[in-house]
Amino acid sequence: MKTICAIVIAAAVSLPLAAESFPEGDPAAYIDAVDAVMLPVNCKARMAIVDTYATGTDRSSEGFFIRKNNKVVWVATAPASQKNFALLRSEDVFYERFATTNKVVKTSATANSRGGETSNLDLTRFNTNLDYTVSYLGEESLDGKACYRFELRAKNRKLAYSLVHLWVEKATRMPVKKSFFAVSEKVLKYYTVTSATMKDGRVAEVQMEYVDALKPEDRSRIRLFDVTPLKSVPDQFFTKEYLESGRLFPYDF
Amino acid sequence: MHRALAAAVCAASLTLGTGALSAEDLLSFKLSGEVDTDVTAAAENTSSVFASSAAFQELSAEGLVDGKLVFSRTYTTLGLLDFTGRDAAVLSHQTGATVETPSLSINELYTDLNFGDLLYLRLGKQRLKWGAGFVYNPSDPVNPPKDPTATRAVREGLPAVKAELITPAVSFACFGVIFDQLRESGGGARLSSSALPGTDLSLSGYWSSSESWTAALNASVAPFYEVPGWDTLQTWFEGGVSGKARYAAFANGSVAGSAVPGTWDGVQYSFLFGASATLPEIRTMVITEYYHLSEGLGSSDLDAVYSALGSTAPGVAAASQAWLAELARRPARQGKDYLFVSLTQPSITDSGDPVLDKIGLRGSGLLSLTDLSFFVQAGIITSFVPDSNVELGLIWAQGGSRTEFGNSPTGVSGSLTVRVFF
Repeated sequence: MKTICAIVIAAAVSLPLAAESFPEGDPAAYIDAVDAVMLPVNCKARMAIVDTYATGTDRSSEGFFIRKNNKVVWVATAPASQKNFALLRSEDVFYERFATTNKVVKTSATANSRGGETSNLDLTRFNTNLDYTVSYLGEESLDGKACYRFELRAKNRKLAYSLVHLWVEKATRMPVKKSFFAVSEKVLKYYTVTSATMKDGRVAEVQMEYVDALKPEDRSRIRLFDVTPLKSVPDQFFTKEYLESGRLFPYDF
Repeated sequence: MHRALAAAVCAASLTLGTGALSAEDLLSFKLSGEVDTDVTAAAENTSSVFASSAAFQELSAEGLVDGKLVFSRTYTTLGLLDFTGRDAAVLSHQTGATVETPSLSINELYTDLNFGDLLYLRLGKQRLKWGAGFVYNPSDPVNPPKDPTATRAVREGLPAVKAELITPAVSFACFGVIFDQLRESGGGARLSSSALPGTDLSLSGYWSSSESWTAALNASVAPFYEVPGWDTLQTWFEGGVSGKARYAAFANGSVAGSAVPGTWDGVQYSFLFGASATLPEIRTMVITEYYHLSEGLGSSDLDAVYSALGSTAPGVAAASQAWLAELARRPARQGKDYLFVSLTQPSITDSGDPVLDKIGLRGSGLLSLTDLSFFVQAGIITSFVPDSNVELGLIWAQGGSRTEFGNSPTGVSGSLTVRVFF
């Protein structure tokens, strides 16, 4: 009898701990819902970015983008010298249009075409499940907010950061923090959501701050506002030919 | 009369575009561009065969406004006016008077109409995209040719109507152009696609009674797009075949040693290979292109032409004068083969340094592989004031006395440009 009990106890200890199950069902479906809160699948929005550096200098730029699911075009409207600069993501290919001409060249996801702490990826990728495999890590309190914590592993390292940790506030389904890791699993940078205005259950305006983990004084503050769902968006807006034509993306804000 | 016809096309396009709006639509106007003031000091190349053909300006100043006025409302109608206003002033060393030359160029003036989300119509004075070449499009029979030696590329368009069908898989455009000489008007089409992964392809064709036919193939490939660190490397090819030559060939004149423009026979061809990349971390952009023109002059022909133009023998230079105009109209197109290299550093650093973040560098060189003469441009650009920059530029042309760039009217010039963006 004692032997049987000892064997049972030893077996119980050696069994791996059961993975913590996500209390709201499927993590991937939940992440889809979080993405939908942030940005509708078809939408337009304006963006203002301020890059600040350890030297105390800062640089501002403004623009707008139009999104049709996994296609995004980002167009600069300020400063004047950068008007007409555009960044196009058509599925997995990135193009950049020079400000002074309509010359369009391919660029990469991880390049910082507009400079600062925001890469081309940061400006144009809004579909988490397309790029990452999501797993749930547990609950955690962050900045006084009860959050779920997720781990995102890149499906294609060329188009995504190797590893991302995401904290989502349980009450609002809003991201609170996102940390981006290198292949070595060292933190490269992170962003925190510093303020958000909700309307009809989704974001109307949000402010985020990207911080370079290696040089914390270097930051980019992004304000995303005038987020407006669109009933339909022409596929033509997301072609290289349209970018080269110099035509406007004629949405008034 | 034909200029009036072209102007009428522009006016009609604007009227048509405006009329397409419903009564409650409001046009929005957006103006952008730059104001440049420039001072240039130049040293004359007195051994150039062009030295006596035009007055040389050692010191000149210029003010320029380059603007784009865009009008739009939803995406049913768009229009654009691209203009350049210029005022050049030279202080005459002979009379002490200031000689001013104001000018206003309408580079583009057109309206865009949408028919649903598939079909686009552009009517008016416009620049038609033709080739993949960056510094030059050797196969382009339509647009005013780019000048690889120009410090400022003002891209004047031409009166045309273009219809374009853009789908995610392919785009098809057909166009008709009107030239000053009506018989030079023609039509063409272009089929392009980015459906092949990592590749952009287009096939173009054009015909006019004066230019005959032209067929062109353009291809751009990013061969290592999937390889981190190599993904900005792009290569491109532009090749064209035409039924008729555009430039004169060398021919012996009746006066011994003189040169007379001849005519190339048969089908002509041209092609260009190019590559560009942005070096990671340091962000330097490198562009290099090589182009070949079958109707360019070979080194011995160029030597003979320049020798005739510079000859002191009685009557030889006079009998060869027709070549002066021919050579002047084809900068960087006199020989057969050219190599272009450009380096651009947008800013020395991008780390918040208050000084180095605001200084950029550029340099380019054009080498004639036919006669080994070269043309170099370089500049330092500083942008300490928002929405403006100051550029110090240098141009240097060098070569033997019987070479293309060795006969550039300006040997060396330096310029200071202040540029304000709006």
